[in-house]
Amino acid sequence: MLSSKDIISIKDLTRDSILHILDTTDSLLDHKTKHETMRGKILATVFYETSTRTKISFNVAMKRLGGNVIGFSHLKNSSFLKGESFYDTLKILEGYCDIMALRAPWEGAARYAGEIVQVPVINAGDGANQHPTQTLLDLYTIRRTQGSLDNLKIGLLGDLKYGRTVHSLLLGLGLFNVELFLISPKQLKIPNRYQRYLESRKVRYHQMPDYREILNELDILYVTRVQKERFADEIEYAQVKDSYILTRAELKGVRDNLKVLHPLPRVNEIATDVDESPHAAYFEQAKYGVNVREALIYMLMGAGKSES
Amino acid sequence: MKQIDFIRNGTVIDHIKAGESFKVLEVLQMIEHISEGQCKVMIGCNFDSGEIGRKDIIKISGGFLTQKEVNQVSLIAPRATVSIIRDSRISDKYKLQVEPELHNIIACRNPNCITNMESMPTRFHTLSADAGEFQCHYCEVIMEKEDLRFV
Repeated sequence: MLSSKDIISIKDLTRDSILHILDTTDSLLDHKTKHETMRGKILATVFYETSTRTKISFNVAMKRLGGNVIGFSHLKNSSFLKGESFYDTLKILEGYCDIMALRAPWEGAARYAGEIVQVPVINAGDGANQHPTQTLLDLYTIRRTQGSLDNLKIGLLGDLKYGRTVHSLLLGLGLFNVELFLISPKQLKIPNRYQRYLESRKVRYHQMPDYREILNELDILYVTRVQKERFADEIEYAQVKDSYILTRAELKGVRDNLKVLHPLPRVNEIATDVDESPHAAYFEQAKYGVNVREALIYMLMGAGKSES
Repeated sequence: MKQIDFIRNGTVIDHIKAGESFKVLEVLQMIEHISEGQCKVMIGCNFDSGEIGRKDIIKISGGFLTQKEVNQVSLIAPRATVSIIRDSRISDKYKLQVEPELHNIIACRNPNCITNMESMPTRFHTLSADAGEFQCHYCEVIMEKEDLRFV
């Protein structure tokens, strides 16, 4: 079972607890576990900033489990602008719901929320810090498409310096036996502390500027956006941007099991002709987001206890 | 040659790594009974030290640090030694130790951290006392020695 009442940071999870979450997701997806277990229960989606897909995904997850959803979807719809503290808002909402999904623009808000309220809290993104349900759905997609999270060659491509998604995924992948290929322009290389983390976990990793040299060896290619605003110099951006657009023609010699993932939204880093390729898994990945969130609600509400 | 005056009553912070005494002074400045009292504070920099090469030393005449205040100093100078002098004799020697968790001692450097938005105590985990690395329990930002601000 999960050791905490909340899901706040991927750092809180062990290899076993991650596998347990993924197993529960499998069980719900393959209808081995009963749905409708949240009948009469209420999820509050407390969203201080807009995140349409994450919010809808939580809504659908709770509704599939038979529960109801309340909440707000922007800071301006909360009482924050009237001067109400975050603490007071959460204490009030605690009385209205059985579980919360919280999105806030302030780093650490979810950890604090978990300490304030008695009901389970799922972090749906706290500023630039953590977005653990994204990481769990990434790990789920990898395992679902490859059959395992071990003995894989995984390429992480794009903005490895600032990308929250990539950093969290690295923390999660570090718990498994994987070989990583960290592919980015030199301006956007992975920060030293994540390299130290990988070394402490004895994860083999390689850094490189171009994915083409190892594409044919990979089981997973995880693509993220290279954002213009990350470059101090527009010329530097212009030099690298076109070398990070994956096209269908480049997928000709790849392994049969290669899957291309992306946290979405995509801009142009994966050409649309890749969508029809059997290697494209990013829309499937987004769909699994609902299943993973369903599993988390199910587990945090203790619904799995009586059945196991 | 006498390098810095002896004190009859007060506190001696010795074996501060050369260059770090000014940071220690910032901590002392936050302590009211030192900064606003009648204490005389002397600072010596770049003395030879058999143990650490070069060292700084601070003497506070007429001011006595408590264990809690010594703990604050330890965040900046974890290898320093603190002696309390009474009637020209050492009456107490504090062993500096950095707690594994710091409760409401330092402020988070991340302006977007929830601890800087809400009225709430801060909490940090000590990653490395020697290197002076502390991680915010809430926003997970890692603070280094030069980032340290006290609550």
